[in-house]
Amino acid sequence: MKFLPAVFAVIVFVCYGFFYPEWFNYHEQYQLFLFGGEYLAEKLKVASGLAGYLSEFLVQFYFFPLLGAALWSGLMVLIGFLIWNLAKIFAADKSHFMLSLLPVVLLTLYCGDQNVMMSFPMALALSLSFTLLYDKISDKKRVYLQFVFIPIAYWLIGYGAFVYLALTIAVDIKKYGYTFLPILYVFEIVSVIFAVGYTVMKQYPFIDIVCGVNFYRDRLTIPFMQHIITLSVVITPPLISLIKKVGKVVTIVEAAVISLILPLMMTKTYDKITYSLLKIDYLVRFQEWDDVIKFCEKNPPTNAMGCTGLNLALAMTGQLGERMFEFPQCGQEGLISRFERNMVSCGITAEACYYLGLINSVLRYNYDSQAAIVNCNMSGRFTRRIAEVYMLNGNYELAQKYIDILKKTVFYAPWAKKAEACCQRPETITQNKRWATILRYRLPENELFSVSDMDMMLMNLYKHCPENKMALQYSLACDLLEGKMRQFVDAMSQTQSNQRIPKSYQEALAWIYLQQKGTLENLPDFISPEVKNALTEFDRLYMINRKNPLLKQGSLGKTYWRYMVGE
Amino acid sequence: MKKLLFIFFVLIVSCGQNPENVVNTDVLPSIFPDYKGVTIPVNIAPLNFNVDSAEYVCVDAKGSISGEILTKGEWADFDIDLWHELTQKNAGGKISVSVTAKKDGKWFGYKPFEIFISTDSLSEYGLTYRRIAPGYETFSNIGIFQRDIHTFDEFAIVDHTALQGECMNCHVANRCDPSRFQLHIRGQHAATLVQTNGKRKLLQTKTDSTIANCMYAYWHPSGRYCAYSLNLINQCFWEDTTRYIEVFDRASDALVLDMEKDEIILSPLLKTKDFESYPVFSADGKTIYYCTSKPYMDSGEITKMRYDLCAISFDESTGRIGDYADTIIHASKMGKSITHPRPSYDGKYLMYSMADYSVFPIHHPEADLYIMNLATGESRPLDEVNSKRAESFHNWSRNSRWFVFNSRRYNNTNNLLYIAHFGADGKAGKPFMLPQKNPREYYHKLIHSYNVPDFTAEKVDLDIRAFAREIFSDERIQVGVRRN
Repeated sequence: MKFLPAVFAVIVFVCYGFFYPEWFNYHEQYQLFLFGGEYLAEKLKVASGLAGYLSEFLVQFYFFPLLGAALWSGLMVLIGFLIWNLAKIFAADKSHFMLSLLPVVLLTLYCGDQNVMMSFPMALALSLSFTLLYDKISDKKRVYLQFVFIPIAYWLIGYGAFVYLALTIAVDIKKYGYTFLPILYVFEIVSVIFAVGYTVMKQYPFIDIVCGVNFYRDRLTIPFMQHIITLSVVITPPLISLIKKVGKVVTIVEAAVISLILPLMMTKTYDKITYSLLKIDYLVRFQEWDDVIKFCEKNPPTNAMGCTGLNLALAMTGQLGERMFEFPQCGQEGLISRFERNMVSCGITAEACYYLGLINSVLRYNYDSQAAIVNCNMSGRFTRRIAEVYMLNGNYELAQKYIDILKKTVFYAPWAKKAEACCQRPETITQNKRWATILRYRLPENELFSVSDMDMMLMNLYKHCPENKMALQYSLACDLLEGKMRQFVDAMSQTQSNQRIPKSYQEALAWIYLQQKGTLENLPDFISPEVKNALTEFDRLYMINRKNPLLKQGSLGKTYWRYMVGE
Repeated sequence: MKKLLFIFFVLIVSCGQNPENVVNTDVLPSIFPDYKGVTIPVNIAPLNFNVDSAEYVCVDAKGSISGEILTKGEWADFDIDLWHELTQKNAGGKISVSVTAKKDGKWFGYKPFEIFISTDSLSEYGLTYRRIAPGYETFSNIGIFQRDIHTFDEFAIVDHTALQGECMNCHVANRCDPSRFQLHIRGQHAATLVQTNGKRKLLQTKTDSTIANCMYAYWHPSGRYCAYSLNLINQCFWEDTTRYIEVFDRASDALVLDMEKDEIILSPLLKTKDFESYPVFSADGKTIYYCTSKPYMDSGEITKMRYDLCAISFDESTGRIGDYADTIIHASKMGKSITHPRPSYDGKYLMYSMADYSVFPIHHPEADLYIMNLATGESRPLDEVNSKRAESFHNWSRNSRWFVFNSRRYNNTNNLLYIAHFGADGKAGKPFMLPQKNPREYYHKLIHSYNVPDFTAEKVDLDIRAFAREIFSDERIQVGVRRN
């Protein structure tokens, strides 16, 4: 039976590491764990600070999803073991070991809500550990030591102290019978909460002081499931002890059900659209362009954020003009979206601006994305880009401010040291191929970022540095998506050489020709027969019935004309 | 007792490293912040400083009248009580600061520099300001804070932990009096908080007759009225190595809010097709100064936005705004733009910001502070305090002998606070950066910017939980409208 927890750990590892790597990326990129006493002291300033600190320590390793999956599955199994060890105090039979993983399954499913902070499972693990440590004290006088332990537990794990309190009371009752002391314990913890609320945490609402300031990313929301899972952790050890011993077969059935319920329920409870966007964001962050495209072929983007990631990947692989209308599009917003007041949506836009050479916009989107992190954490991903922009703008002192922060991390420190060396010897910046490219791409002085004239701004980028083909792709895409036909034709006439014209551009030019001439006779040679034939067919079907479903299907459904005529 | 304390302190200090084989130089030490030649008030927090590249420093601060304190360590870290005593003893005199610094294992002695102690008091408790993490369109890490200027203690008046997700700005007290202040909450639960002698009310200041909520505020000396501008604020962004953002109005008007009747008082002269902004009352409360510009709607024309300084009369007894607006300074004719007028409370001067264009000089490196003598109408740049970077958002102390302002001189990005003396002769002393315990470390690590600083006579008291409950309740007093 000893292998059963290992099986469960492997299932958790595989489910997360291979199917939801973006879950780790999401958690990692909205925090910045710093080594050093100052950061620890900062975290310990609020109740539940230790849980927060340790969870952030753990989450920094999510930078590598497989490492994150190993740690995550380890933590889950650890919580199961801790529950089991408590169940043993209540004389549970070992044949029901797997039942101690039931709260863990619930917890894992609850964590499918990407905004559940890791400090919640960490606080549960700590509260269970504290309870077992408390039980190591064999002297009955330990019940009086509780008056010291309770405030400490509250300060270190916040809301988790309720689990500790409930379980230690249950253990003491089991061992020593009923006393009046639990009433005093409850009185003490309530007093501590009020004392904290009126002194060191007087800016915090009491609901946060009770339910935890860092257990859910948005403090205004305290999901009911948090209480359900907490309750399950408290009641499982004594409940298991009430179930009679069973045979091996039943134990294996219990194990199989508990192990299988997780992957089955994950597919149901993890929001598909949310995780699609998180996946695109993750792949864009690590420049896995081909994977972005492959993913979008199976899961077409449904909003501006998804389109931004897809279009960036297409542009980075030189396919934007060729393939952009094979996928749903969201207008200009799917190229460089306006800032929305959330921490997720503009990370990809910032990356698009980075590769285009719009580096002040990189700064803006990264600053705003960081400022939108609702629990006011910093982000390693965003901080790195901020430092990079200041360095490229020649503000080395300011870049150093952010570099010094990143130097206190594990995974950003190597980059920070390289950047620091460049700040000290600015002439070496151009030795980095990407930075050299950006410095060539970036616009000269006095250029305003313009949403209304995005195509012109992008064309200016291209004209400033014709090597910047991505800017040209984006400018032409912008005209196509916004239906700016005249600007598109002008831009085409100025920029296209004798090379084959990408498919989307051909489609647009053929479309314009048809609009102007009313026929596709004498279509210029640079428009391929395939495009001509397809437009002929599209036009025929459209003229018969504008809502003909065939217009949306097959190759016709993946054309510029389809995008232009809409539904 | 104080002597004993001093002896004890000297003993403690003498336990550290002692300079040996000192190489005396004839140059001033390179220190951060630059406190060389600054003018400070008695009892200000110690002007601790760091010496560039120094591993260890020995600093001797000697008063020109009497007193001397020593400090040793990685940076000059003066004892607060001894420092206060030294400034008290030398009011009207100066402190000569001798620095000996160990660099690369060798000791160097530097030419002493001086810190001047003014006899003009700065008896205020401290400063209030908004501290905000960098962001362009969204802010989560934000708060209104107060800082005891006699120590290094800082306290939140209200911060993001109390009002998560809400933007807050423009904490404005009436002439540094914390018993009467207002501040705005923006976003989903928008309101204007007015607290008078501990009583709060939350106002909804947008009406059918006005274009926006009340924004930039300034109290009438009587405390009954508050002048506001209403601004439809917009932003655009530079793709530039030195400029990042431009803040401008798409429309703006000015008005007066009667705090007793909760009514806004509208005047057609402050609600024209032009843009009116930053209205403030004169020291006697009989005049409203404000800034006005021709309207430009397009971000491409922002460099044409230039604001003049105007004045219009105000009758406190009737709450009536005058019938004639006068242009005091035609800044637009000079190719300049005036913002943030701030009359001194003694009625003698008016300080303002001037930049090449724009209503928001904070992002303009060329923005400087200017001072106008209200008796003569003469203006001049305050060269004593200006730098090559933006200076803006200034406010006076109650006795009009000190002022605090924002400057970006430190790194062109973080707005930090500086305090300067303003003499009876109309000249300012060299400003000093807001003291910190370990300034180099503090300011290097600081990500936030300071906004809208002002002095506060006493510590501000706000029942934060009650305030948060009221904010989230969305119960507001809708202001009425009175036409001039």
